[in-house]
Amino acid sequence: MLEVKGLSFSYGDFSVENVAFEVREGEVLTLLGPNGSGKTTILRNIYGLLKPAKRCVFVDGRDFHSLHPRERAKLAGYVPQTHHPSFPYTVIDVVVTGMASQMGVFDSPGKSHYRKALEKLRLLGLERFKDKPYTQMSGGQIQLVLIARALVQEPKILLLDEPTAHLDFKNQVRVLSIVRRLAKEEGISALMTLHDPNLASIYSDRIALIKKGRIMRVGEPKEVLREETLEEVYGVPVCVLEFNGFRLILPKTEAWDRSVKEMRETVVEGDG
Amino acid sequence: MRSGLRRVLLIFLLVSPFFSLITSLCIGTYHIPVTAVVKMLLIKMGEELSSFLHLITLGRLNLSVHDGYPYVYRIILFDIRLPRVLLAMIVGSALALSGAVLQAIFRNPLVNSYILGISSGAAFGAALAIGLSLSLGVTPLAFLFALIAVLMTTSLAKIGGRITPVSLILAGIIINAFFSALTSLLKFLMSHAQLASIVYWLMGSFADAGWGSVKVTFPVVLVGCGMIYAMRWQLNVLSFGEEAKLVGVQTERLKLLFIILVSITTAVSVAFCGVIGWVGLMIPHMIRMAFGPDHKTLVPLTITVGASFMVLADTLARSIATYEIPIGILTTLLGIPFFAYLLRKTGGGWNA
Repeated sequence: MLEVKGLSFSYGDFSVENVAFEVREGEVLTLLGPNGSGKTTILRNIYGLLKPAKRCVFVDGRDFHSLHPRERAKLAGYVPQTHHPSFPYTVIDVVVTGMASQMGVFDSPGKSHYRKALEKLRLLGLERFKDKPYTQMSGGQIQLVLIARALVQEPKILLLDEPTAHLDFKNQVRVLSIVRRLAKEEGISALMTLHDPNLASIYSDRIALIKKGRIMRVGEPKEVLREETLEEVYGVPVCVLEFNGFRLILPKTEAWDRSVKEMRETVVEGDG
Repeated sequence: MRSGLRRVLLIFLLVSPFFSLITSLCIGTYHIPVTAVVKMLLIKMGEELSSFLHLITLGRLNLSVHDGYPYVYRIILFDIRLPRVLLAMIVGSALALSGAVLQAIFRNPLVNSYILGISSGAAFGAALAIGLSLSLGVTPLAFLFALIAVLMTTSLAKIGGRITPVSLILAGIIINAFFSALTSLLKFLMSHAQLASIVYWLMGSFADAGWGSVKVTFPVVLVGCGMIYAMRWQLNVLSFGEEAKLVGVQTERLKLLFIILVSITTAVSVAFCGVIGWVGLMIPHMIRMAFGPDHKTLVPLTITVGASFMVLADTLARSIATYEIPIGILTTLLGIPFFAYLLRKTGGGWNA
C-alpha cells in the first residue's frame, strides 16, 4: 500500500540514506529509534514536507509526491508531533478543517461536513467535547483531536510523528490503542515514529529500527527487538524479556543483573 | 454568554452599519432630525430609481418626486455628510478586515495591515506629493508607495520560498523604519506650511471626503472584502500554519492571494484618509472575544462592526468640539481603554 524505495535526504551533516520499506494494508509499522536518529526526518520526507533526493514514495503504486496536495491529503493523513495552537477554535471546527482537501477555495463546510467530523469524534470518544475550545483540552485529547482531523480526510494511511511524545502513561495507551484499532477495524494502515521500544513492541505489527538515518532492521517485534541490536542502536545495555509472545525491554542495571543471576542460581539448585 | 443573547447581538451587529449611518447623518453642527434624514434618503432613492426608469424607458416613464425640505438640508446631507459617512464605512471595514486576515494567516495577535509597511509607505508618498507641491498627487502617490512598501516587505520576508510570521514582522519593522526615515528627511526639508499639512495628513481624517473618493474606494474595497468573505473559511485552515499543508491546502499561494487583497484594500483606504490606527487590531479582537475565532462569523462581523465603529468615531471627531479632531487620534484613544479592559478580563482570547 505504501512503498518507500530508497529514500535519501541530507541536511547539513545529517543524512538519511537509502531507506526502504513497505507498509501493508491494515498494518501498524513503527519507525523506532533514539532521539536524533532521523525518524521524524524520514516521516516528513515520506509525506513530502521535506524533499527527498529522488522520487521514492508510492501509495497504491502511484508516485505520491507528484500528486496534487489535495490528492495527497485524501490518501494519507499526517498527525504532527508538536502542535502550536493559534486561536481557541472549538474541537469540531478544528476537525472539520481536515475536510479542506475536499472543498474548493470559496466553499465553507456545511452540515454534511460537520456530521462527518462529529462521526470521527464519536469514533475516538470525543463527541462530548465538540463545542469546547480545543486549547483547553489536555495534551492527550489534543492529540486525539488531531487524529480525528486526519481521519475526516478518509485516508488510507495515517502518518503519526511521535504520537505519544508529550503524553502521560494513560494517554499513551489510549492513543496507541486507537491507532491499532483503526488499523484492524477500519483498515487504515499506520506508520508512526516512536522512541520507546516497549510501546513499539506492544502496538506494532512490524518495526523498522533506525540508527543515524539508516534502517538497521525491519520485521516483527520479536525478530527486531534483540539485546545486541537494541544495545547497538540505543547505546545502553538492555535486557529483553519474553512474555506471552511480547518482547519487553528493560534497561540493564547492576541490581537487576544481580537478581537475575540469583534467580538463575536458585532455579539451578532447585533442579538439582 | 447565553446562545440566545449571542444570536440577538450577532444579528444586531450585522445590521448595525445601517443604524450608524442614520445616526451619523443626523448629527453635526447643523442638526437634521431623524425623520427628515430617513424621508430624504427614501426620496433620493426614489429619484434615482425614477431617473433610471426614465433612462431605460427612453423618457416614456416620467415620475417626479419632490421633497418639501429646505435646500440646505439637501446640500448638507447629500454633498457633505453622506459621502463622508460612506467613506468612513468603507475604510472602517477595509482596515478591520485586513487586520483579521493578517492575524489569521500569520497566527499573530499583534499584526495589522500596517506591519506590511503600508502606513509608512503611504506617509512617504503623501509627504513627497506635499513636498513637491503636487496637491492632486497626495492620494495616488500615497497609494503607489504603500504598495511599493508592501512589495518590499514581503520580498524581504520571503526566505526559502516561505513567509514566516517572524520574518514578516522583522521585515515590516525594517521597511517601516526605512520609509519613516525618508519621510523625516522630507519633513526636515519642508516649509512650515507643508510640514503642517503632512502632520495633519498623518493623523488621518475624513474631512476631505467627497463622492470622488467614494467612487474610487467603494469598488476596490467591495471586490477585496467580497473575495475575502468568499474565502473566509480558508482563514481557519491557514491559521494552523504549516499544518494547513497536511489537509491539502497550497498555503503559500493562498497566503499570497490574501496579502494582495489586503494590501490593495488597505492602501486605497489609507491613500484617501491618512493613517488611522488601531481599528485593524481592535475590531477583530473584540469580535473574537465575544463570538469565538471561527472566521465564518468573524469575517462578516468584522466588516460590519468595522464600518459602524469608524462611522461613529468619525461622527464624534467632527461633533464633540467646535473644531475637528483628527480621527486617527480618536480611534486610538477610544480603542486603547476598551482593548485594555478586554485583555485583562479575558486574558486575550488567544492561546499562543
